Amino acid sequence: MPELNDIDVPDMQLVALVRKGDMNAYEVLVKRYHQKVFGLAMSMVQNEADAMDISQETFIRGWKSMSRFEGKSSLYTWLYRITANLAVDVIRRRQSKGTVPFEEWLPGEDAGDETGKLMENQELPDETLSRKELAGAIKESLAKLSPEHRAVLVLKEFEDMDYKEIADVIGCSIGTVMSRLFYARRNMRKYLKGWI
Amino acid sequence: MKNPENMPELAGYIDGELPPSQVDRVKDMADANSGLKQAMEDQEAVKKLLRLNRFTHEVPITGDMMWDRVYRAIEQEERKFDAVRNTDVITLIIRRFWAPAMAACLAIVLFSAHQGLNDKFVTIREMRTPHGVSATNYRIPEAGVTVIWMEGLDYIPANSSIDPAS
Repeated sequence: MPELNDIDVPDMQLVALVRKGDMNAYEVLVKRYHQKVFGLAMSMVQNEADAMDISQETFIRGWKSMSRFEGKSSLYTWLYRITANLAVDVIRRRQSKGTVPFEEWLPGEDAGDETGKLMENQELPDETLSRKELAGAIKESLAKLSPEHRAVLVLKEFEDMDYKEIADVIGCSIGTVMSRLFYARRNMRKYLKGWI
Repeated sequence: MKNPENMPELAGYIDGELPPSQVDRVKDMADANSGLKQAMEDQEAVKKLLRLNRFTHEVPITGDMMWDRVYRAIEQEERKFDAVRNTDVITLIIRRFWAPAMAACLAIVLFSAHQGLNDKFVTIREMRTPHGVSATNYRIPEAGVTVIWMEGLDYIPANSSIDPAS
């Protein structure tokens, strides 16, 4: 019997234990996926406090509804589905209130630092500045997308999921994923005019 | 020919997600139509830009800290659940229905009081005076008195014992 903390213990084996009420098994799963879940939440809501709340709520709901996880999709797809739904709710609530806390996202001194750091290569100082501005422009553009368009774009371009996985996460057809991606990119093209 | 403004298959094409049967068709259409070709290039440009500029988000807390938060929240929820599960049925019913029960009790008390009041006043007969004023002759058995209520009076004279029959 392998140790629970062993990284090789498959998700489904841990899931089986969780279903029997094993908190230790769930602890391993939370630690295994908390970065990915936080990353997705952060990409979508673009606010650290909200992303933390969403991550926590994702794992609480995961625990409560683990008995309903059928194993048809991978565990992380299932967790992503919970995360994406929670994130879409947060974005909708913000949009209905007309509040979009993107201060820390707007291009400026800190753009690209702390939250939402661009993957950096070796580069010259003026290139760094330019990349920070670009980071700000991308974040601003993402923020203008509808929650549904933002979700598919983030899952495709940042999480590198294929259409089938995205469809599983979002709970829609592959055709809908393709359509949303098309329009999301088309809008991004408009918003990022000058960068492309 | 499809309007390039509305051709989601272009996204599927550049993502390599189209069924083989559609790949050549979309490619041929794009080759033959400059608008479609431009739309496809735009899709590719956005894809490339985002991929080259992917964000990495540093999680502000460790896995242990996240687990600690999640564990506490789960424990709290389970305590609540246990509290409900361990509460006996009578208590649950009282908690759930105390307000309607109180309202029902109050209604019963008021109704009984009203009925009781009616029981105390026994109508002997109703009359009309020569001046057209209606009056009712009541008997109050408990007090052993007979009273008359006359129209226009807002009270029953306490020590009235006029018996119109007499």
